[in-house]
Amino acid sequence: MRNNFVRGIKKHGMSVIFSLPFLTLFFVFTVIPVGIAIVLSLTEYDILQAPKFVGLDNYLMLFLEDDVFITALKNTLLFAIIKVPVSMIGCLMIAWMINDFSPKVRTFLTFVFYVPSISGGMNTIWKLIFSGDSYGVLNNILMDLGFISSPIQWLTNPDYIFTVLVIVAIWNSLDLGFLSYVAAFRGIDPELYEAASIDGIKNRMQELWYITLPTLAPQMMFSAITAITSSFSVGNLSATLFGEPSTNYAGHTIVLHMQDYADTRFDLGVACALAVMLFVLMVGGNRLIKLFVRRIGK
Amino acid sequence: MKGLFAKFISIMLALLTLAAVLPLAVAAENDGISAPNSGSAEVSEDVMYLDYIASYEDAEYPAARVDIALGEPVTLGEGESLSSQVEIQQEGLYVLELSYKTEGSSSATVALYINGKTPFEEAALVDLKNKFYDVEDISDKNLTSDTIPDVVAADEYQTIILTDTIGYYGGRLYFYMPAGANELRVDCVENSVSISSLAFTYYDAPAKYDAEAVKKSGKVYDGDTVYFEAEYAEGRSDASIYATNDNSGAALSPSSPYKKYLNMIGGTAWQEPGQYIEWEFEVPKTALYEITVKYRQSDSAGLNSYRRILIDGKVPYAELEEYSFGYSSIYKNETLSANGEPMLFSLDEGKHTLRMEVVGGELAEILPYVENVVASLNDDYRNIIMVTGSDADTLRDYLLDSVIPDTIADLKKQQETLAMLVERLQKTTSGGSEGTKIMGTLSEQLKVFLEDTYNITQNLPKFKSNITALSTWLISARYQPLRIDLFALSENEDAVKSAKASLWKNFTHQFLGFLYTFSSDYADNAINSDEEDVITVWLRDGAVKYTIASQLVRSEFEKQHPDIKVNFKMVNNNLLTAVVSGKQPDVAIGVTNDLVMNYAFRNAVIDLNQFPDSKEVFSKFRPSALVSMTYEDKIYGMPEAQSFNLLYYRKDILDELDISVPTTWNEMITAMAKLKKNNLEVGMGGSSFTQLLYQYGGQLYNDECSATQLDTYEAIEAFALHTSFYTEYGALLSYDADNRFRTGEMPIVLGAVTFYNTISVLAPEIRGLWGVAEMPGVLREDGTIDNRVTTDVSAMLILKEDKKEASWEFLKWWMSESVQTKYIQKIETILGQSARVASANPETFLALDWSSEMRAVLDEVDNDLIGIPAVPGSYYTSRHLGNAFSRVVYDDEIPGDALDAYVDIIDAEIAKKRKQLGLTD
Repeated sequence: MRNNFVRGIKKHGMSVIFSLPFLTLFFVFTVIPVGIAIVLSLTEYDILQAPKFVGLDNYLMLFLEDDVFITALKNTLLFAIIKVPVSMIGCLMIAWMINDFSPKVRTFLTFVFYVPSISGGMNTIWKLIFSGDSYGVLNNILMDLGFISSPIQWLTNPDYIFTVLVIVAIWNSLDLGFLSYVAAFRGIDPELYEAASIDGIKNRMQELWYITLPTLAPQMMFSAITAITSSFSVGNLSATLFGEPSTNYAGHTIVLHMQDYADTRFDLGVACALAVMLFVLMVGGNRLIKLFVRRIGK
Repeated sequence: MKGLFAKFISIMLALLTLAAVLPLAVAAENDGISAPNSGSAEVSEDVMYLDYIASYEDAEYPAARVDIALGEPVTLGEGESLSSQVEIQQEGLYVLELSYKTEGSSSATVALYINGKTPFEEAALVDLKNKFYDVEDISDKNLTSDTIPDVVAADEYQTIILTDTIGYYGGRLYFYMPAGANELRVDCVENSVSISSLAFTYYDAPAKYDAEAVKKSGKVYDGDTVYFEAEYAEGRSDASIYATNDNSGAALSPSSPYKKYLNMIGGTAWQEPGQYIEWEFEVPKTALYEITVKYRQSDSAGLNSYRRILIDGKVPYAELEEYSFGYSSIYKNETLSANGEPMLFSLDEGKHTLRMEVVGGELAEILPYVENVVASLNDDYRNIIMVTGSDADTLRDYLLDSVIPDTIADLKKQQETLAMLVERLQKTTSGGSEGTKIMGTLSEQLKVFLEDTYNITQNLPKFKSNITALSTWLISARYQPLRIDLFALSENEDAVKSAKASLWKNFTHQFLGFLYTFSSDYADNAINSDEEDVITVWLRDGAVKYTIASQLVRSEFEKQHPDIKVNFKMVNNNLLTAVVSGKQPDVAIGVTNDLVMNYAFRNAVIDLNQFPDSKEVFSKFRPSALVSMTYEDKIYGMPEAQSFNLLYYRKDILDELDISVPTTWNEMITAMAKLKKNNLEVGMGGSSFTQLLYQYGGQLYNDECSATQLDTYEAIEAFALHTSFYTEYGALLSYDADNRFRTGEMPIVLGAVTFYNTISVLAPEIRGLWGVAEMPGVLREDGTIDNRVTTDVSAMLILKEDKKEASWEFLKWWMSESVQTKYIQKIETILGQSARVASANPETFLALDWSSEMRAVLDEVDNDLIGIPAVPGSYYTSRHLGNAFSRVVYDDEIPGDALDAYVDIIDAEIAKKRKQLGLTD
């Protein structure tokens, strides 16, 4: 076994040297911290004093005692279930639509659709739109139209918080996945469509299902993984919109719960346990999505 | 045919102009506005100087001087007045000459009364400016930037002829004096002033520049051009006008890509009418000179800036009474000229002074009209929403023309005034375009309103935002900023070096500057902190404050404590990580109070009560500031800033509606109901449950700080009252307090001390119309009112054991009265009054430049502050109090139940944290 490893290194010496810089960084900044987090999740650690080993207590506490964790878990999963499909399908459809325009218009439209996801500061505008003041944009419109008579506290009333979160998240969900689609559509060989029409494809829907989508499978995988990762790690958005924590934890997510334990409550052990669970969730989510993507075009 | 048409048009135009101007003339006669809020009755306000002087068109300007005998100089404190008899021989128009000295560090404001009456509006608010000097020359010892010298107020009398300092009129103010005995009274309205002489006299106005005559009078200078740098100013009216760095290009003198030279003076600090700068300069030989000013005016978009220019205390030519510096986005040479031809100045060899004063410019004459329009429209707006509410039902016709006919009539009047102003602006100005646009829009909107008052309700929010836009423009239009880099004396304008640098030079300048940002050490004074006598201090605040603080450390602390060196840094985050990795500073400034105890309980902060002189040091703080940093008999932090809430109210509106300023919550509820009836609101955001709890006699935690006391009768009672403001009396959950207070929609606002600063700066149009009071309270059984307020404190910590003595010295020095005062005053001169810091040192805090009314309130509040102890896990208290609040307000739960639901959760967290920290077994 050991022999094999050494022989392998000798055989692929050049490749090892080339990948070494990346591997070093990857180990130091990703693998080792993940390892440390797993170890710390088994301890009670308040950052300023030495950690104390407590076994699985943190995990048990989260599941059995911490109601807020359940809320956060529910919010995160619900958020992912809504956002992942909407953003995947949205990215694909819009990229498909844009693809039929002339190059100049296409570039312009790509820019227009991609801009929301790189303009992080836009959350301030959303705060203005959903402001609870009667002069807030949405309140003002609704009151002008006579739908409501007194302003709604969109950002602090727990009844609205989650909905607002989803709306804003979907608005800026045309991210990297979208760009990769736009590029991939250009790479599809038009001859494929020609051949398919000779083989008896009748309409554009069939074209999409049998030709376009299978060709785009790698990009779909990419887009799915980014969508999953970003949905599970949602947190900052909620914190900027609703404050930290939101009223009655209505916009609380796992990441926020983790930050709450780490930064406010100085319980780093529990925070690490949450991080580990989030990691497991993401891996699981990615597996699930892969199953779906593989079925496309079959 | 064509000729006839043109005639018709011109007649129509003439008629139109007449129609627009006539009402204005009428308006001016019957006191301009029909505002219901004529605050103080004895001032015959609203007569503008221009109208006043126009009514004395035929009066004489007697060439006589009438001195008013004062004997000894008279010192007037705020609210004091001086009155004396004046015997006038010859009736006519006189100017008032006055010698004065302001006491204290800011300018004084006086009001003048002749025979018991203010003759015109401008005389009711005359600013008497101070005079400031640099203590030393600009020091260039530092490698990366020049050091701003300290300034002191001059202890000398200044003699001036009164001019308008509001900015409505550029020239000197003339007073009409009838023959016989007259009484002149001077009231000091703000701060204090000493007056040594007063005289009604004749102003010998300078003649126009006459090129022929001047050229005959001497020989034109024929030597090398003489330059002098504007940043070396001699005296100026405000401490906030000082030499500044402008890094905008290579043409500034001096300039360098690497070093921040203090190379110009002025800018937005030198823009209010009356503000002046004086320079001294040396003339090489007696001759005729041209004077060139290298300036830039891009701080106020599109507008010209006006200055009165005096040489040796006199305006040499009439053209210099109101000299215009055109808008220019880059530095530019302006050779002082008349009719396009450079003027020659006859100057003797030796020292001379040059003085430039800000005067009202081309917009000056229309601004008072605009101000009246804004004030009237604000009143009209409020009168309208008193009928319709601020979110008017757009489907309903409120029949405003029959409900509030006076208001509608006033709208018509204002519309006509606006239309007239727009026309005037379009004719005259170079860059009044923005104002023209706003006024045009407003005038059009009013026209639509007047066609059918139903339209008013449709467009109320837009109407409001247009008024706000106009009042914002009004503030900026008064201002006339100007930056000056250099002066030149030369034989002719071509001999002055160009104000522009070549494209290539500018490019290298910027590029080298950019490269330098990679190497420049912005901390500027990094010292190796491992050395024995060096302490590291982290300031958790912005760059401006850091620069000021580090200058104080250099210039004062290190001189007073030669054995201690300070490595002073600006670090905002990461204190926690620094502590974990053992890289913490010795001292951290600006830590919020919940963190103090979080660190303290985990032994990351040292106890300050261990030092021998700690008792004495801590005794100067308010006890309330220390509560949240004390555990048992240990004190873990030194209070740095302490803020609390006050009640702000609009005097005019409360008077009108006959509401007294609420002192208890019951009165507050009554006031809310009365205001609601008139569709006005109260900003309740500044009241908190915790404050009510203490006023009711309860407390948040038990004496051992081991559990909350939220299940007591007092707590439930206080919580019920707190939530009832929102559920029963309709207080708003979120609102923009600044603008609503200014328009009067929210005549009562509970807000922090900073609200005072914001309103003072943001809303000059309601100056004098609003007041402050203590927060309302709860009536005790003995008839007194418990109106204690809770406070927020931020602190300084010592985080390292080994150099704690030196750190302690630093803490004591930083919070000493003189250092805090200097620090806050310097911040204010740079960032303005709105950046005023609420220092935790009570002496400093009270000594700041508050109005006498505010100071009286602050004095009162001083004894009424409550500190809340910090408890491990206290973050859960505020969080769940918020949750309980939302249950009541959004889900209509019963307050007691909602509060009860969270008591156990909070207590459990506190118990858990106490256990973790080893405070209980």
